[in-house]
Amino acid sequence: MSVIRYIHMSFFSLFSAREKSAWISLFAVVTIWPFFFYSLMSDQTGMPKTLLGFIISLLLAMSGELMLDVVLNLLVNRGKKPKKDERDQAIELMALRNAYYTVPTAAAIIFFGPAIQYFNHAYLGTVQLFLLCFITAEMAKYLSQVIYYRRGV
Amino acid sequence: MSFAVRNVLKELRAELNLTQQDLADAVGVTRQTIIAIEGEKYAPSLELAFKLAKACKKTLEQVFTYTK
Repeated sequence: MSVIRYIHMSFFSLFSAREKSAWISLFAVVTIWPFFFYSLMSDQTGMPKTLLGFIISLLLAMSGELMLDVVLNLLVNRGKKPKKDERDQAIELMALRNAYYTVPTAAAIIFFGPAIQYFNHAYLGTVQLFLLCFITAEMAKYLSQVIYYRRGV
Repeated sequence: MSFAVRNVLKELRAELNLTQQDLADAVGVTRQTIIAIEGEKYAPSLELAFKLAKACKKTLEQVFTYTK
């Protein structure tokens, strides 16, 4: 607990609660989802054994991300609900715009690249690739937020 | 990033002996937003600009200037 307190006092005190939330969400996405994709890719086929296995893995990854986000927000923001002002809204809108640009860009790269051949157009493989597009977009959103908070809008 | 909207908020705040938190509370934003405005990293909306000018007891033109 003292390590978290030290980080909070030295580093995070410079950030608003919203900025801390953006960092936490980015950390949660970057920590959880690579494990999900790695676990599916690790058996060389890149395919889950069954649809049920895929759904369970997906639910575990989603709940893991949510739990990590909630726990870290409670620790760092001390349970306070972050106040949102016009700058936060402007940054969120710009970050969302970047996320919307990321979806078709990631889809074009993934579906016209070698990945679709790797899965041989199997439907679960295609679902995974779609998921990868959305996770990339989510990552782009949080990354944009942390950049705009530091760089300015 | 070069900003065309300049301001003298920091100087006015010092004149009035206000902290960034005082000003943030007066206009209903976070302290980090006041820091961003003073550092010219964020150009406020017209409504917020009017609120800031009012909190500093000045007109909008006395607080914000547009330079190109």
